[in-house]
Amino acid sequence: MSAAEIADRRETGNGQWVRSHCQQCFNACGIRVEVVDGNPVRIRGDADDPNTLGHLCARGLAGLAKFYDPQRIRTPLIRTNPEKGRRVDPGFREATWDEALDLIAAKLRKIRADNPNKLIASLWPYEKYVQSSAWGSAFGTANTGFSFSGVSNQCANPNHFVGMITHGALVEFPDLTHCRYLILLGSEYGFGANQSFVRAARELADARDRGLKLVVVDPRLSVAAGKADEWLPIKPATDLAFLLGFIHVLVHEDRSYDATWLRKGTNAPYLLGPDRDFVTDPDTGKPLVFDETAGKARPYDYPALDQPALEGTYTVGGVACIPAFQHLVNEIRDNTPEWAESICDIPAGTIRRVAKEFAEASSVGATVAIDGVDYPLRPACLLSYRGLQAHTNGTLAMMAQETVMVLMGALGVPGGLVAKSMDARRFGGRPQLMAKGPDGIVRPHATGWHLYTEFSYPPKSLELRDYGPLALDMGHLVPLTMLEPEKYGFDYSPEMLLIYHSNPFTNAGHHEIVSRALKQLDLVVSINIYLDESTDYADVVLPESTYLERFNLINWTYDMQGLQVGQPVVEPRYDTRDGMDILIELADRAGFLQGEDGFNAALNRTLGLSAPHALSLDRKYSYAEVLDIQARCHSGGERDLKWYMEHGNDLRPVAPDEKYRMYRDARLPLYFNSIKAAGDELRRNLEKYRIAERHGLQIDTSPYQGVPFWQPSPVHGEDGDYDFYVISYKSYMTTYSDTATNPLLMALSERDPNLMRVVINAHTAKKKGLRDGDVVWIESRYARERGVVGLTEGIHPETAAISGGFGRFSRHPVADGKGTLQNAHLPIDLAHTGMLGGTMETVARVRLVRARGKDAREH
Amino acid sequence: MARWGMVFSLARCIGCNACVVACKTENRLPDDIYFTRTFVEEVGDFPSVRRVYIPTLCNHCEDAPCEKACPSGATYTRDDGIVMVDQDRCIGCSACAVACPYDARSMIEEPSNNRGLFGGAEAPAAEPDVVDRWRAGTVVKCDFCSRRVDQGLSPACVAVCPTEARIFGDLDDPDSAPSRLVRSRNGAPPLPEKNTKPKVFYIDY
Amino acid sequence: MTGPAMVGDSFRLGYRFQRHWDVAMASAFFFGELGAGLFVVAMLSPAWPVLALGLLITGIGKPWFHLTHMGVPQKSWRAILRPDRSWTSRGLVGIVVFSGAGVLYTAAVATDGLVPLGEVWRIVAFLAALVVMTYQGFAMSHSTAIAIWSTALMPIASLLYALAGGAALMLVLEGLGLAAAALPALPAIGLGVTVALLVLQASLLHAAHNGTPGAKLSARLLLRGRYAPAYYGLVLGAGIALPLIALVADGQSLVGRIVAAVGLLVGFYAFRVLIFKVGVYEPVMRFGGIGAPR
Repeated sequence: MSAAEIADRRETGNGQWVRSHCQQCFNACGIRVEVVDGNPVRIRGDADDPNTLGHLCARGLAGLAKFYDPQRIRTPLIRTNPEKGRRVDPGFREATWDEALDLIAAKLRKIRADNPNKLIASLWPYEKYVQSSAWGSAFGTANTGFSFSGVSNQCANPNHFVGMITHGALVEFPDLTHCRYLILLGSEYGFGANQSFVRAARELADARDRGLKLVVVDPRLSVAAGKADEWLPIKPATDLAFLLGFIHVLVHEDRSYDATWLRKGTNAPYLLGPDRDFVTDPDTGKPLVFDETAGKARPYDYPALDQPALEGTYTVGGVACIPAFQHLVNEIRDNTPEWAESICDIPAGTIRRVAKEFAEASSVGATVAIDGVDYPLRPACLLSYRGLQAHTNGTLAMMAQETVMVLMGALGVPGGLVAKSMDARRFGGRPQLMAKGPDGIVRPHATGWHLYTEFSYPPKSLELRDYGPLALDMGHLVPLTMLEPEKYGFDYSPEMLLIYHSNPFTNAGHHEIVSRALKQLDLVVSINIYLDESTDYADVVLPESTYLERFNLINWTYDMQGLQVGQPVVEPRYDTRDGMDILIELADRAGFLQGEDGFNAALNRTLGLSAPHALSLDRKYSYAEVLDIQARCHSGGERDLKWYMEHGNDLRPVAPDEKYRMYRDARLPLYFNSIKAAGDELRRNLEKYRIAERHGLQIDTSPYQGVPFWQPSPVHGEDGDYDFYVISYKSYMTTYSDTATNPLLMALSERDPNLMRVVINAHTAKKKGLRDGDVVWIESRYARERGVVGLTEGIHPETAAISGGFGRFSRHPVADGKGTLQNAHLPIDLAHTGMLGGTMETVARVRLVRARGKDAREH
Repeated sequence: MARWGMVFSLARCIGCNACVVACKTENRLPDDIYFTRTFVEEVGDFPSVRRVYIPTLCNHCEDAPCEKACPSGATYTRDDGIVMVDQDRCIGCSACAVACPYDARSMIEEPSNNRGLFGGAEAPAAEPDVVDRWRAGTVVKCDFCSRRVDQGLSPACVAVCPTEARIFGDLDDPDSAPSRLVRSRNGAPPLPEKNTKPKVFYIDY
Repeated sequence: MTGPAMVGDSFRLGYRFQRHWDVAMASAFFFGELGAGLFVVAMLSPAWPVLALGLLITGIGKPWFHLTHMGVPQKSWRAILRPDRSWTSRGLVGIVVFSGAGVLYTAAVATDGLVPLGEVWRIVAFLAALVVMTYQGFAMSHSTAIAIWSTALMPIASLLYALAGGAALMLVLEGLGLAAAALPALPAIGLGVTVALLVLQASLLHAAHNGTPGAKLSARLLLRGRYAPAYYGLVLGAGIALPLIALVADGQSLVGRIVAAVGLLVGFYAFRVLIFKVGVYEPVMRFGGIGAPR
């Protein structure tokens, strides 16, 4: 794009243009807002944002509706009606901030002195969730972050966890400047709701112009699938089987993996003993490999190592052992494409052909010189997201994706998947190389993240992280466990819930459990912009400002450094406040803002602040002041918040050697030894504390293996009389169901032929006597919701699809009663929870029954 | 003098509706009025099915039937080829609207013209500039954002398009991006059988 | 796949009803054509009250409904500004001339020649009435947008229905003795025009059925869709079959004439409304169809 064309995007108008970034999803796209007479009148992309080049999505452009919504909460509210329930009027009365904050702070003080875990801090303001989670940690509760509300229904949790332990990737991005072959599995990267949509859409369109072939695996003809070169309709929650068949072709039939890379860049040659742990050198404790040339085992980093074996069976120190690669070969032996077809409904021939095309496109052995440095060139990517991962077997499926990418040597290299890591870059710091463990394997950055939860008994985390040490989030379990704490071994019962920017009714499952749990709590506090389904259960509601009235400072790109500002384009309307300022105020009044263990100290750690640019531990800051210090710290004192408010951002691309191979000489795991080890540890602890006998809890430790294997989703075996698999999906015009209050977006959604309907295959419908536009009851074991049938050729025949963006039953006139909900059909229980990576089974079994009489007309 | 035209790449368009919202907010359109729409169509049978998104707007026809139908002289073509409606001259007879084969014209009705984003009475007084921007009773349509074009900017829908599926430029300049694309990628106008000579072309169909 | 369908407000690619010309517009068309038609038929045996009635129907009924439909009625005079290209402007010129010349001619008839140049006004009024009777059809046929309108049959339909309407009113008025002299051929004229309407409807359907997909869809909406009952019952039944029977059975009795006239007028009005209702815009692109991209 030429400078002239970029200049062409700049806006002129009558008003004053203020730079900020959008906060209607987590991508933080640069915006400019035109302000006339103190009123924002128009939002446009910021052409000076090098990540988006001034492009913006429908949601971003429609953001004024959030600001001008007459439903905004204008003052703090306190409940007068003691009865709580769905659509039961809480009888809120207006209150002052002092009254509301003091009421909450008193309860916080009491809980903190007693047992901090009795506070559930459900905090999910996406653009600053790490900062807000630090508030919960400073308070001292184990139940913070995604607790109670959870993101396991919306998020691709294993993507983050498996991506991080594989190559330090919080999120993976296909390197589209080089990629020639892209397989998307349950992902709409570049087509809609996903990471970096605005930029990805442009880059993918450019790449396809250059000849990239796109294959999309999805039960539904998503936007991506509809535009792809090839759509492979898959039975829901069976992507793991597809990938195992895919791996089978690579390692058994085509043998087209990158053996050279596997030997020197991964733990594939590490020898495994009968217990499937690494066989280690008695002297150094380092894992051993078998040197084929020398004919003996050597430590993996032995200087004169020549040709470490990938295959074969060896005896070392009297122990029979095999290289990790051989273990994968053995484990995958029966997972032929024919076997995969029998499970996932994609023809074996197609799996075979696509795997071979992919392997060929990977061009193993090729290199490319960038800035004088030679990198491996692997222009083929397999990228999955929520559609593949939000299942009980999702973590194993994500492991299978990474297994493919490691086999081809396509992680962190040109053309392959590039990591966005959890290093200091997100808050303005420099890119940091990944560390290497004593076993030679990569150690990811995890600032403000937890990769491992120590076992404890009695358990602390209501999400049962104590029993699922690697789970990113099992927040959806909290309503279940808190109703019967003793059953799970807890020695406490939660008393208070603080919900910030989250709505359990639209992202957890089974509404009755959520409702009962909410009713049981002494104090429910909601920081919110509007009253929603959950505020019907709130005792106190604190009004937050919209994103056009708040501060933020973030870098959400994967290959740039610098920061992007979010700032109030006008003064906050009504008596509203920035949510982070509310958290600071609560910490102050409850006595955990200052001192070594306080919120200030936690923010210093999370944001990577150090003297001279760090928060003092003995005073209170506004959130803007915190950001000012953050800006100064990471710019070496050069730039302050004011600079960013004026200039918008200082984002600039990182150098190629800060984008590629950030793991350098650390090895990537083909064998997920850390998962195996965590499982062993968990098994020992469960036995030691006799969890099964004491509580009758059967915690499944079988998925904790070093290589992926087939595990069916429970939905495949249940409820034969519910004949549809119902899935939910994200769309280009919704951010979860948050955007359902936006009249501009809703008008467009209603004009989409199928977006707000329950969509089924036209041929299936014919067999079942259903017609386009029929009003139906969507029935499951957990809910009965009304919907309108939409017919399409573009969906797997046994699947029904419902967008996750609608079906609100709030008091908001724009959102209320439009579309239908999928999540109400999802059970909340351990059987439908993948405790390995922290997943919720997001597919359910339903049947569609045509509504009659009044029910059919009212819709 | 330029002769403005637009090219839509059907391969690049992903139907994200950013253009539609940009247009609505740029032009302050009442809730039921769209100057640009992105139509969607499924093509084929399961499992060999694909989806096409077809962006549409006023085609600024060289031989504009709307202009010929307009009895009041309100519809006219600027020297740069942009077909305009002069709201001061329009009498709201709708002859142009039924003459346009592309259904690109709409009548501004009084009630919606006075509604804010959330519907009249409830709109806070602070919601400015959205209400009553248009003259009720007149027929309106896309004008390629002539106000922006006159300032040297591209139309709002073009500026925001994430995939750059909308390409705007001077059709008289053989080296302009739309001219080159129409030439090299076989640009086709919508409904050529209507003989309207659109200045909008589709490629990659 | 069922192929493109009527898609309403949705953003699905497909056919959309024209929604701009509605019942008010149909009424304006109806009264404009009816008045001019009566005026012309009345010229066969000119009596001033009948001529005046024709002028009043066109001169009041048509503007009334036009102004109801018009978005900015106070500026409607502007509609006369582009007779060089717009059939609406030409029609408005026709109406002005028709009204002026028609009044003068009627006055000449009423005063038995006191108003000078009676013959000139007669010819001018007749020619202007022809414009009024046909221009709306030309306005419809001139544009290619609504396929079922885009045919030379539209001005013919306007002319025929105007004559039919005129004949219908005249049948009753003459039956009441309001013609200057008896018109024994009137029932035969009525019959002839009704038969012509039958041919016209058949031709319209035939042309539409063999036309573009949009025209075909419109024809289908008339014959099998939601408008079929009105089309069969009112346009064909009341508007053609009933007058045929009534006029053949007893074209001379007042009852027969009233029955025929009511049927003709109902059919005329129903046609005016339905032809607007079934007008559709075609999809901007067709996939897998004629001349469509792959």
